[in-house]
Amino acid sequence: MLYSVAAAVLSLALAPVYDGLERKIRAAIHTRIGPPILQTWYDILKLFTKEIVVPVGGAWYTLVTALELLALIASSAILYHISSYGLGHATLLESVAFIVLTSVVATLAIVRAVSQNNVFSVVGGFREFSLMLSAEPFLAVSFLLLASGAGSLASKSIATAVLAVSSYVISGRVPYDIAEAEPELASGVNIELAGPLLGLATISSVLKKLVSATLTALALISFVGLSGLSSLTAVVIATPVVWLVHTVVSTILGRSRVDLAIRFLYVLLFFLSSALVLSFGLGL
Amino acid sequence: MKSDSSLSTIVKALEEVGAFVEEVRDSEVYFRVTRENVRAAARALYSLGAYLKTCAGVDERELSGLFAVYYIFGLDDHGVDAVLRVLVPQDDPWTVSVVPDVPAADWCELEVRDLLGIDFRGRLTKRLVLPEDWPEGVYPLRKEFKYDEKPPRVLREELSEEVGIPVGPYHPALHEPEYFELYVEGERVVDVAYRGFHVHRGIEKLAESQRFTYKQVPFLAERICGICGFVHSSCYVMAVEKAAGIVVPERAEFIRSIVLEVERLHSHLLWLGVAAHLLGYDAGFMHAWRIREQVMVLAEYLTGSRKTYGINLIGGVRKDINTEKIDKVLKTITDLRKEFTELVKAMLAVPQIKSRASGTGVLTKAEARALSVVGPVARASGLYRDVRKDYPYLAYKRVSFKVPLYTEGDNLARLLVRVDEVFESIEIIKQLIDMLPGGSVVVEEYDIPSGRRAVAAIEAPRGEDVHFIITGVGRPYRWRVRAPTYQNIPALRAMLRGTPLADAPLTIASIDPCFSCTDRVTVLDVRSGRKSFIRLKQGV
Repeated sequence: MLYSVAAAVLSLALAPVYDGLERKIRAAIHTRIGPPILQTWYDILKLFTKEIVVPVGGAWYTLVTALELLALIASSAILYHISSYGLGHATLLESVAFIVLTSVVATLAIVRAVSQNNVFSVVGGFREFSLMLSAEPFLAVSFLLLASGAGSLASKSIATAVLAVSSYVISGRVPYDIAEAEPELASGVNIELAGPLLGLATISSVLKKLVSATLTALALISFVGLSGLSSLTAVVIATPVVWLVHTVVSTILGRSRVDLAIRFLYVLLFFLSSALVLSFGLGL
Repeated sequence: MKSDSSLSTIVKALEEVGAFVEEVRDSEVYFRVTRENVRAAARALYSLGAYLKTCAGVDERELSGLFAVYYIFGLDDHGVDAVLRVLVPQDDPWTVSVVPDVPAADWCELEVRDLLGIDFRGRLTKRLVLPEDWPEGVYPLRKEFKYDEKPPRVLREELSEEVGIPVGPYHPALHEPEYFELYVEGERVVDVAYRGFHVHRGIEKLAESQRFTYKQVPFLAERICGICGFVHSSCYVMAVEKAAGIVVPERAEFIRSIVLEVERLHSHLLWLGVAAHLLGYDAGFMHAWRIREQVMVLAEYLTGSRKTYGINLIGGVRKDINTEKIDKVLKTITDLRKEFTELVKAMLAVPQIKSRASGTGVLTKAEARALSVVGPVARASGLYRDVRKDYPYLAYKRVSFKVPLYTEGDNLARLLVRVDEVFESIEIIKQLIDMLPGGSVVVEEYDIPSGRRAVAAIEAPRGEDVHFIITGVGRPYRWRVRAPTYQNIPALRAMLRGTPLADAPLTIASIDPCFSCTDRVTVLDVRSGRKSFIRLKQGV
């Protein structure tokens, strides 16, 4: 338990550094120098020195933003707790708690967006909602299957693929950054944020990437059959590697459109899920 | 003019509707037509395949005691401009509108109405160019109005927070103040209204003022646009040279042509980067601009400046090409071609680029024809229009190049036209450098008689740029500038209808508009009829 807490705290502290590394790698692909690796931390700290500006829509907006961050921290903590003994050995309660928290994060983000008196934010919120409907059910099913430890190598591989795709979607990277879509919606869901509130949202955004990378790392490590401290260590080490892969994928692609994204995700995830059901049914 | 039969065909058609020839100059024919017959004359020209280039209102009361409206039509197939001149009495300033037959005249007629006070009958009118707080009955292009006069502001009841303020909500996709009202159903745009001219600078009026002379205006013209300024200065000097009959040295013509193509290269690369950014492909954006940097260096080799070259003079150019740097220029464009080929290959392999640009922002050939759109917008909709081919000018008659043509009319087609044009421009520059003649680069002695008229057109990166001039004493009596974007923006309404909201910025950018990063959007839910505005205080 102590190691899990330590790993969670370490990863939460390192997430902005991973994000800084992402910016550096993206810059290298762009042939730019890019900001320092600690830039995301600098940004967050700077934002918290600014005055608090509560957007039109009420003070509870702040509460929703803070709750979203808390839910993300909790879901990260559960993931690291599960990591300490391997994904295939998670209890049903832990698995359901993680799924519920993931849905709560997405729901709070949507509530935050649509509660604003700003059409860009509202449009962004509905895009977030569409993505959530496309990816979350597949993420939940694949996670529960892997957490149960049931199934063959083939079915676990397919479930891992479903989990990897759906967790990439919730990370909010290109091509699925459509809720924010800076050139289209002028930052969409984040348009009303400034100062410490934007700081909170920035941390949430980074933690979403952390959860996304940790999920895939956890699923991949489960194939090795590690447990205890070695499993936890492997997940902590594999997370930035998955993050790196996510970075490269997002840099070489363009932004999708909400209708195209949903169509693509449904086709891909439905195909993978069908293969998963088939492999279970045939006992492969 | 391609042949005498072209002229007789045009003259015959117009004489049948009561117009008569006033003057024939080079590739221009000026017709006088009464205000009652102007619509029939415009219809006759349109039926001959003419495109409206622009129209211009002129306060000719000092010359003839009347106002005049000039409609400039280009007959691309004949290589001739037909100009209709309509005289309007000052005590009864109205004329018949040609808009019902020539929709492309919509904006320029409204501009004449705003700036000169001539009313147009047979069409809906509204204020277009003047700000909302400009007083009624004050017309800045009338000669008695001083260029630096500031009439008292008139605050109107209807001025609201949502309209009429030239600063405010900005859109990261666009680069100058403009305002679109997008009416959406879900994520699909069903209609659009546009309001622009927030930063109308009165440059035409300024050039007619005592502050400027013929020789100074090229430097003013070059500042019309930060991207294709050389096009404007070239077009201005060409108009003056045409009007005054000044023969420019051949070497100067080559230099102008080379620099015009360099400008096209940097403009298209800039646009390509912006398009990639709008589609979320920032790697494409960064690499397009990295490659563009070579073009900026190329411009510096040739002119001494990365941008706003300032080398155009009436009668030639004030700076010869540095021949010691020709090898560097050739090496740079060879490298540029190689790197650009790789960039295009990578960009078109990104699935989101093709899926989002294909089938969006469609402008049909018929719509493109009716609105007289120009440049890559026209060529992507299947209209074979390129001033360099239709009205060969400067050194373009000496080089061989293709005019890229696509028929799809969508965002991808406009992207591909620009990609093809980059390759063509590289080849044009190579040919021009290879054939660069010797001799002087400027005519020192010349005379510019007053009362002469001329139309000059240049194929800018965004399309046909048109300058119309009436010479005066020491400075232009009237100088009319029509940038290509002016002709292409009205087509956005057709292009945006049915486009997904997400692709609206790309569609707007696909005409490569000359307004930029500031925007204001109004979204109307057509199901509920509820209209919500983005307000200034929202800081969008």
